Amino acid sequence: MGKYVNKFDKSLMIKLDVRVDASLAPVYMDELKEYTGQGIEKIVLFAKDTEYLSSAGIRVILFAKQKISPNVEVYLVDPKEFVIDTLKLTGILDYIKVVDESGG
Amino acid sequence: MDRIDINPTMEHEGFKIGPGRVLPFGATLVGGGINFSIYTRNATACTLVLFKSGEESPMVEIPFPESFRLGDVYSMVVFELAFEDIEYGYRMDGPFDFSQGHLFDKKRILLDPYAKTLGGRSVWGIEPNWEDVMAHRSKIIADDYDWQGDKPLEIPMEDLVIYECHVRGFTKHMSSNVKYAGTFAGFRNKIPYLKELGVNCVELMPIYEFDEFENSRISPTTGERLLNYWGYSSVAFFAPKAGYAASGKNDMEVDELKTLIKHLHQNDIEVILDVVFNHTAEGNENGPYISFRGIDNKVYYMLTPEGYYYNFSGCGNTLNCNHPIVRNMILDCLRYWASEYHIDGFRFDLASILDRNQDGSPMQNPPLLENLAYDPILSRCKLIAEAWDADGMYQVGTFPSWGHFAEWNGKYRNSIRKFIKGLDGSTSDAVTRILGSADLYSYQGLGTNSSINFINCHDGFTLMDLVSYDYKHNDANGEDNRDGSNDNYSWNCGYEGQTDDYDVARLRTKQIKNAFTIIMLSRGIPMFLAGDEFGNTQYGNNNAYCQDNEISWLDWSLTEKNREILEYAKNIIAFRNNHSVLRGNLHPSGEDHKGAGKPEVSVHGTDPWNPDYGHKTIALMYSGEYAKDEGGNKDDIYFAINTHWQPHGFNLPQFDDGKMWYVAANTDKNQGEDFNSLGSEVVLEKQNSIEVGDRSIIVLIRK
Repeated sequence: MGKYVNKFDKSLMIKLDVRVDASLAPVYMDELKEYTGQGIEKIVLFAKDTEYLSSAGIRVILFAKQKISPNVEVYLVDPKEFVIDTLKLTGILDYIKVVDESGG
Repeated sequence: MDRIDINPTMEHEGFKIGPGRVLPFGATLVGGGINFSIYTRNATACTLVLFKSGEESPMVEIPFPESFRLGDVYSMVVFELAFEDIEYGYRMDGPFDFSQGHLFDKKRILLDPYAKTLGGRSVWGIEPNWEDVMAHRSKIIADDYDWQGDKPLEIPMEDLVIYECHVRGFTKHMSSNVKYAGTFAGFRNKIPYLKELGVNCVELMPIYEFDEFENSRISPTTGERLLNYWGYSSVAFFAPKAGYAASGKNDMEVDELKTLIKHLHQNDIEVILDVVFNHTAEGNENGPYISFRGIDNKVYYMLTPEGYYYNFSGCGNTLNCNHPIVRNMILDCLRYWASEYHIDGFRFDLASILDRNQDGSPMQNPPLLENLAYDPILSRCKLIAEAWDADGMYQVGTFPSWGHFAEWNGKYRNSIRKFIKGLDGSTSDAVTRILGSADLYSYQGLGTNSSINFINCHDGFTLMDLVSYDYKHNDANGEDNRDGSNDNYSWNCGYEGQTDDYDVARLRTKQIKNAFTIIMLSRGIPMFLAGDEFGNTQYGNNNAYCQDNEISWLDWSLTEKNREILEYAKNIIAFRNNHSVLRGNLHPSGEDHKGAGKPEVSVHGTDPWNPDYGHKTIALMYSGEYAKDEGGNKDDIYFAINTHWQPHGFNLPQFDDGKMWYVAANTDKNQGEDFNSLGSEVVLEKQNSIEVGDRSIIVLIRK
C-alpha cells in the first residue's frame, strides 16, 4: 500500500494532498510507477482537501493517465473551484470527469 | 538512466554545485538539479544569483568557478533546488568602457536571455516595485506538455485567411462575455466565432514577455495611466507573457498558451506569432539594465564606432541580428517556439533590420535571413517580413526571401486604400495589386504567396475608422497628435467621426464591404485586423499602442449593431474559401495557356476586354478552368468595381459554352440581398450587362 496511491480491483485510488507541487510530485510518480501494466481501467483522484496544484502537480495527473494506460478513465472527486480552474486553464479538464463524492 | 557526469563537486554556502553542460543555453532540469548555462564573450566573471520566488533579496549568489567555463560559456549544475520556487539571474563583471561598447556593471542582476518564463510580472497592470533589485526574473519550467497528437497544421500558404489580433484586446471588453477576459484562456472562448467567421490563421501581436509599464505615463485627456499595450518591446524572447495568462499568477502561462494553440489547431486554425528581434526593451544609452546590455553589450547591440546605439528601430537600440551569436539566439528562439509551442509561422517586425550588418549597413546576403529560410525545423513555417525599418530602409518587393519569406505588402495597402477612396489615377495600381503584385514578386521567381495583402493592421486606422475619419485623432496618446501616420488615404464619407446620419452610415457600410470584397478576391494572402469584420472603431486613433482601454479593446456589441457588415464578411470569406481560382501561388497570366477559351485572368472596362485605367470603373475576371483544386469549383468569377460617385453600366464578356452569369455579391444592396451563398446565386436577368451602383462592387460567377 502506498501513502497516496492504492489499487482497488481495476481502479487506482489516488489521494491528492493539500498541496501538490514539485516537492511531492516525485513521490506520487514513484508510487504510480508500481501500477503500470496492471490492467487499470479507472483512475480516481480524491481532491477534496487539495488547495493548490502547481505545474508539477498537474503533471502527476497527466503522468498517471499516460503511464498507467492511455485509455484509462480519469475521475476527479470533489475538487475545489481553484483546482477546477487550474485544470481548465491548462487543458487537463478536457480529459477528466469531475464528480462529487456520490459519483454524480 | 542517470548520467554519470552530473554530480556535485563543490559546495557554496550550503548549495551543492558541479560543472554543468554548456548546451542547451538557459536553465534546464537535469537529474537531481538544474543546469544553468550562459554565454558572454567579454565578461571577466559571472555569478549565478538565486532568489526564493517573490523574495526581495537573493538567497544565495554563486560565482561560477573558472573551471566551470568552457570557451565563452559559463555552466553549472546546482543540486537539490525546488525549481518551482526559485527565480534566478546573473551578475556579470567586466570592463565599463563606453567607447569600446562594454557596459558591464556587476551591481546589476540580469535576466537570462534564454529564460523560458519570467517571475515578478505575472499579473497584467499591477504596478511593479520600482526598487526591486531585479525587475524581471528568470524562472524555470517543466516544458513537457500533452499535445494529444497535435502538430503544426501546414495549411498551404495560398489557402490562408489571416486574422491579426491582440490577445488582451480581443476579449478584454466586458462585451466579450468570456471568463478570463483578456487572456489566452479567454481567447479560447472565441474559437467558435473564428471558425464561423472563416479565418484559418490568427496572427498574434507580441505574446512573449514585455513590460507594459515601459514608458508608462498619465494620459493628458483622461488622467488614466497609459501603458505599453501593444508590446513591441522585447524583454524575454523565449517566455510567453504571464500577464496574458489567467493562470500566470500560478506560473502556468506556458501550459495555458499551449492549450490555446492546441485548441486552435483542433479547429484548423494556425497560429503565427509577431516577433520583435529588431530591438529590446533596454532602450537607448539611458535605458534600464534588463539583460543584454549587462551580459555583453558589444555583442548584442549594433553600436557606432563611438559606442552609441544605432537606432534603426526608432526605439533606442537595434539588436545586432547578424552577429553570429545573436543569429544563433534568434534561430534557437524560433526553433523553440516552433517545436515546443507548435507555432505555424512568424511575422518579423521591422524585418529590414534583420538585413543589416553589424555596422548597420544593408547586406546583400544577410546570413540570418538565409539561416531562417533554410532552417530544417522552420522549413514549413510561414515566415513573413514587415519589410521596412524605422530608418528608411524599405524593401517591399526586394526583401531577401530565399523563396521562403513573404512580405506585408504595404504597397497593396496604399494602392487599395486610394482606389476605394476613389482617387484619380489609382485604378491601374489597384489592378496590379489585386492580381498579386507581379511587379514586385515575379521577377524573383516568387509567386503570389509572397504578398500578404492587407488594408488595415494594428498600425493605422481600423477599417471602420478608415471610412469614418479624414484625420487621425490621437490626442489621448499624450503626444499632441504628432504620433501616428498622416498618410492614411482615408475618407470620412461626409462626416468626421461617429454620426447617426443614415446616408453616411450606409456609405461607410458599403465601403467596408468593398474593402472586404477586394481583399478576398485578390491573389495573394489576405490579412485583416480583428474587429474589422464588425466595424470596430478606435474613435479615430490610428496609433493606439498605449491605450489599454475601450479605445483598443474589441467591442463585441458591434457584432449585433453591425450585423450586416459581419454577415457580409463571413460570406465573402466563404466565397474565397469555396473558389480555389482565387488562391494559388502563381501570378495569373493574361494568356489562355490551357486552351480554356479565355485567359487565366482578364481585365475589362465598362466594355469587355477593354480596360480603361484612367477611369474609376474596372472589372476583372478569373477563368475557373485555372482553379488550383482539380476537382473543385470551376466557376468563372467576374467582379466589377465602380469607385465613382455615380452608377455605371458594365457590358459583360460573352461566351458560347452555354454557361450563365449569376450574381454572388452586390455591395450596393442591403443585408439579405447583398450576398448569395454557394449554390444559391441568382441568375442574372440580362446576361449581357449589369448596372453597378455608385461606389459599389458586383461579383458574378459563371457556371
